Amino acid sequence: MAWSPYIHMEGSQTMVIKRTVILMMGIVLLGFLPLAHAYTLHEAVVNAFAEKEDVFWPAAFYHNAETDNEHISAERLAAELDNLALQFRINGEIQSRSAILQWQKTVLSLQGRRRTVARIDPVMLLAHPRQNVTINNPVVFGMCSPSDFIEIWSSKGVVRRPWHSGITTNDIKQELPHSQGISSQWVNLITPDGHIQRLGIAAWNNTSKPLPPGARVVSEISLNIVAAHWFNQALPQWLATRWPGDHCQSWIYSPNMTPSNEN
Amino acid sequence: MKTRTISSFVAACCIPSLAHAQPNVIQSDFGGVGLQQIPTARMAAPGALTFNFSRTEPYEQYSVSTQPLSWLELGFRYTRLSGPASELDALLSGYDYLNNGIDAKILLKGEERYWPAIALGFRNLGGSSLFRSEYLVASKRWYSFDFSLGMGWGYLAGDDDIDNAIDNLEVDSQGTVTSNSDYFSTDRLFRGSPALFGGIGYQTPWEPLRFSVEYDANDYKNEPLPSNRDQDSHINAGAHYQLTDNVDMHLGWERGSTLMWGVSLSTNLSGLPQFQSDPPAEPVSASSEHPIEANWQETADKLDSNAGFAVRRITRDDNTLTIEGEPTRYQSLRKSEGRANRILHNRLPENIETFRYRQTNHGLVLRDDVHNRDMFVDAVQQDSNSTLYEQSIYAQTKLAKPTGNVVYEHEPKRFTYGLSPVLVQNAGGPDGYLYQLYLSLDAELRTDSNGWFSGQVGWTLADNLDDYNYSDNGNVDRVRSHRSDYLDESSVGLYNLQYTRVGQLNDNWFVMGYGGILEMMYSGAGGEILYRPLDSIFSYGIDANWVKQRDFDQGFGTRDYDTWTGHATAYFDTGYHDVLAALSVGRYLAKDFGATIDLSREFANGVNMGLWATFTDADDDFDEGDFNRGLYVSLPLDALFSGAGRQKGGLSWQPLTRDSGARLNRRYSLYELTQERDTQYYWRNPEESYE
Repeated sequence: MAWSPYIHMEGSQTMVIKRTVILMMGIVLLGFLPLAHAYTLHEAVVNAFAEKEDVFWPAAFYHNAETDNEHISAERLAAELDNLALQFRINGEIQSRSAILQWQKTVLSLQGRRRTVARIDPVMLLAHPRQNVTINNPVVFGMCSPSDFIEIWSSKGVVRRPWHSGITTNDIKQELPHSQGISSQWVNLITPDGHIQRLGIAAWNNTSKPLPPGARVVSEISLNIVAAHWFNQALPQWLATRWPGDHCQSWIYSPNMTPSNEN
Repeated sequence: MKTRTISSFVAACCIPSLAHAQPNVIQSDFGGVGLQQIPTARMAAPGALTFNFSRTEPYEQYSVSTQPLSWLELGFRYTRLSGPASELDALLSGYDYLNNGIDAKILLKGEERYWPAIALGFRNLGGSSLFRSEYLVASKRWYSFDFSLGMGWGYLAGDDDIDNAIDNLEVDSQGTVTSNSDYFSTDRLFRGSPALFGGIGYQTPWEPLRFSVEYDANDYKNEPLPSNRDQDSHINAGAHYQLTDNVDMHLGWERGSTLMWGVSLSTNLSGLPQFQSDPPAEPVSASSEHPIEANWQETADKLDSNAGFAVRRITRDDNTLTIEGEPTRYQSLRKSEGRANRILHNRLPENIETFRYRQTNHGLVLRDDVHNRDMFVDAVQQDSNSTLYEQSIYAQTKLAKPTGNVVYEHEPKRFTYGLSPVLVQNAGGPDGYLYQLYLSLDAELRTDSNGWFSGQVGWTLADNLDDYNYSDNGNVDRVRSHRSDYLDESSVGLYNLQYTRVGQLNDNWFVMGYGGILEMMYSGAGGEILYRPLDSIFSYGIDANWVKQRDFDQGFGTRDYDTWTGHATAYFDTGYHDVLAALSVGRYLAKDFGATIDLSREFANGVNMGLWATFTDADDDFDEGDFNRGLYVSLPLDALFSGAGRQKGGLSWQPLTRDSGARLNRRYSLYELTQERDTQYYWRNPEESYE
């Protein structure tokens, strides 16, 4: 078997924190290794996935911690959710508070599953040279199995419903009930490829959109406070940077190949 | 604006549209978003342009509707009434009736959870009284249903204000009946008894099909031709089928007795893509080896063919290279300069660090755009380096010639020419729809970098200006109403033959002088001076011209009429959705004094929509009404034709034969020649650097 430059791991959400620590330690250690050359993302992908079978490219991902700074942290989101939960408690909105606490729990469970929002299938990278970035430090590559659910963040908390062909936002309206402080008018749709779209779901602004498997639909917080306005922007952006599935494997890749002269 | 005028059919049908079906957006019989006879508070997407035809016996409606802003709908409409003599009453037996007017609708409030969308609208604004309406309408959606309820005045309310309408009717020798009132007065708005109107639009589960049902308050028995408008019901119903993204078909039953059918052709001009026939941008060489000496001729040729930059001069000063020339191909200078950066980087010694593009037009130095070579290369290679590169670019005005050694110099092409169809259309006045379609042969011969001869020969292919009959009282000099006499004399005419020189007094002052055959109807000489600082929201210009009316044979002879005409113009970039306001005050061709206000919006892709109105002291002396107005749309021709370069085409509706408030059609204006003094689009679209 040829030498492979990655540390291989598999797991699910329950192993997240442990895996994150191992990954970070691996990245730190590899960071001390002398790097001979810079490589393109395309070259790295071709090498990193060379021995992988049945790669589902729409759910393949990478994360470059050195260049992809995290502007929104899970801790900040969790803190804001604490504030919102307190606000709902003061207002006597028990159901909304309960939902918000579930949101908080889910945010923390996704904390380590970070990716850079970008498609990495080799054909696309060759067709879009400017997205074929240079890598000169260890990065995380990964891939997930295709999802078979839709995840809905609403006043019911965070629930999942099975995905089926042709499902649209209109089909999940019953999962988005009205509750004080959590909007039944507007949602954000976050697709597994990291695209965010704000959609109307009420009678006056209804827009029916097809839902891809693994999509997240997140209700807006309708409290008229600064924290809610920030949160409505921040949470979808943060969710867009999570792994595109549940059952994923990830590994650290350190470039060690022939230098690139592509542009 | 001097633009090529193109067929409206091409604009609507053949432009690839990015617009898709918008819920609730149906074109009404009159044009503009509505149901059938009634308007709604809905608006089309900004940039939408729609040509609409509908037929409801005995009316035929031809309309153009534009959406320059999300809250403003503007349209122009002709209504033709026709029928056999036996079906018309004694007043108009055997005649056609033509009516035209401008329609406008303003969105006062967008729809919210509990609030409906609310709009205020006007039909036949400044037009004759027959179809004049004002209305306030609210629309509220409930899933697939869209409910509208409004209050209308005038025609929408079944106003019996027909005495005025009939008084204004005129029958010409061709048997055409027209309304001769363009009289506009705010006193006439919202007059008479209002009436409620309303309707429901329904989007079926099958996306292309929509239905409408409405209550039309109009009492058709109050119209001048009662025998032709049986009204069994105030309820109208119809279906609207979207055949393609651009074509909507309408079929309905109105007044309980009459079939309605129509078709709408629409596109969204703000989403026009450029015709994709560009040569690919050169890949940036990653090699660390660069030539010691550049092949300047080859480099300049490549800049011309790939970057669309006609190089006039290249100067090297230590590590800075200044490239002076004119953009010829791409609307976006970002794109031209991005491609030029690649070409220069691949061919130049590595010690050249800065590329300075000196953008000129007909010898006028408009600005210098300065790029850092290494930062550009880094940005091309990785998107993440773009921000640093963007921050390093700057633009400045530097009239003084660049210092250093001139390494390449080339005179601009001395002779250029082009052939294009031009359609001019009449709007306003009692003349109904008048047009002239001609083939234009244009040529330009440069004498040096700041001076040139220009010429234009027009060959009229079709026109209906014979239908025009001068019927005014003679109080105003006939400065435009001889148009049909020019066309009667010859189908081929010399429309322009002039010499023009431009120059600069300093960085911000531009001057121009010209003389010769200035346009189809006038010869003479004139000049213009413009103050336009780089990126200033205000610019000021003055033009003055002495002109003499040409002979009808469109040769070199002239008639007795001559005059001084000119304007002082202030341009104001409002900063609101790229709306430009221009106010001109001065003397018009008929020696009348007055002012013109022009409002236009330019979209990021170069498409421009606008309207203008002129008020002069001769308006009261003129039978055709009291003010001159028009609509125009111009668009970059590279959306339609490969190799069209930076040329623009246009559609305009304006009075062709009106004498008061008529302006000289100057071939060039300094504001257009200096358009690159405005850099807002340059900074707004950084991604074009990499295309």
